[in-house]
Amino acid sequence: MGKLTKEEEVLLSSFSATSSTKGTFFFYVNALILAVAPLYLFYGVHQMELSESWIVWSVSAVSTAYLLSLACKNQKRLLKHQIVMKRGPAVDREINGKYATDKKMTIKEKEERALFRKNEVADTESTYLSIFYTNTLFLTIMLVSAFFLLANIAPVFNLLLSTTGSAALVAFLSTAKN
Amino acid sequence: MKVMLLVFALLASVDASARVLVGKSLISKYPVAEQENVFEYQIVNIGDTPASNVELSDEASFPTDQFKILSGSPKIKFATIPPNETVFHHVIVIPLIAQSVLDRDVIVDYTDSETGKIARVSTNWFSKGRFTDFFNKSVMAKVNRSTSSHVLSFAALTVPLTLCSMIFYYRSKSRYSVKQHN
Repeated sequence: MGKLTKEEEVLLSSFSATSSTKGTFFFYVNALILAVAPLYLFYGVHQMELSESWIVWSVSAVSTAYLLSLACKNQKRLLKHQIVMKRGPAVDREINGKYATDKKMTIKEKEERALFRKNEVADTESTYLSIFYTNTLFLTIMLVSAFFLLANIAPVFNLLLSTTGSAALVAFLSTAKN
Repeated sequence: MKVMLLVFALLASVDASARVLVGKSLISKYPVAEQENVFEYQIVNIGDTPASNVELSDEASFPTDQFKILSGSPKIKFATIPPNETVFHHVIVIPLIAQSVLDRDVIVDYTDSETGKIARVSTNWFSKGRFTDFFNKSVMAKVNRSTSSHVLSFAALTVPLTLCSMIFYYRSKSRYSVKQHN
C-alpha cells in the first residue's frame, strides 16, 4: 500500500468523521455547562441540597456531559458532509476572486486552497449547527420531563431521568444514519 | 393436624373485626399564614368487618383564636366504613398569625359492627412532638422570587450558548450561500 500524497490527505480530512481540536473543545465546554445548569435549577426549584445529593449530582453531571458531547460529535459528522457539498461553489468563487491577480499561483494550488477552505468552513458551520441542534433538543426534552412529565416523582429520580435520560435520548437520536 | 387447624381457625375468627387507621396531611404546597391551607384526613378500615359510628375529632388542632375554619369541620361522623375502604375528609383553614403550631392527635372512635366493641385510634405515634410552621406571606413571596431568579440564572447559562451558535452558523451560511439564478 503506497503512501498518501498531501492532496489525498487534505481530501480525506475534508470528509473525515473526526472533529477538529477547537470543535472538540467547544463540545466539551458546551456539554459541561449544559450538564451543570439543570443542577442549579433543581437546587432552586426542587429544593435539593448540595450536602445530601452531591453524589447524584456528580453522576448526573458526568453522564449528561459525556452523552451530550457524544451527541454533538455524532451530529457534526452527519452535518459536515452535507455542508461541504453545499458550500463548495461559494468557497471556489471566493478563492478564485482572492487569487485572481496572483499569476504565480497554479490552478492546482488554488484547488488545494479551495479544498482546505471548504473543510474549514464545513467544520466551523457543522460545529455551530450541531451545538445549536443538540442544545435545543436537550433543553426542550429536559424541561418538559423535569417540570411536567416527572414533576410529581422524587427529585432524585426526577433529576436522573430528566437530565441523563434526555441526554441519552439526544445521543441516541444523533446516531441516525441520515 | 386437626388441632392446629382448629387453632388457626380460632385465631382467624379473633382477627375478623374492623380495624381503622387514621392519617392527616397538609395538601397545600406550603403552610402559610393568612391564606387557605387544605388538610386531608384519611380514614382506612383494614379490618374484615364494617366499622360503624366512626367519629373523627381534631378540634384541638384548630383553636378558634388562632385559626379561622373556612370549609369542613374538624369533628365529623361517618355512619359506616366498609372493610378495605378509605374515606377522605378535607378541612380548609386560615391561620390568623404566622407561628409554629404543635401537631395535636387526631382521634377516631368507632364501633365494630359485628361485635359492637368500641375502639379508639389516634395519630399519637406520628404527631408526637411535631410542629407545623405557618410561614408569613412575605416569606412565601421571597421563596417564589428565589425560584424565578434560579430559572433566570439557568436561562442565562444555557440560552447564550445556544443562540450564539445559531447566530454564528447563520452568519457563515449567509456568507457562503450561492444564490440560484435561472
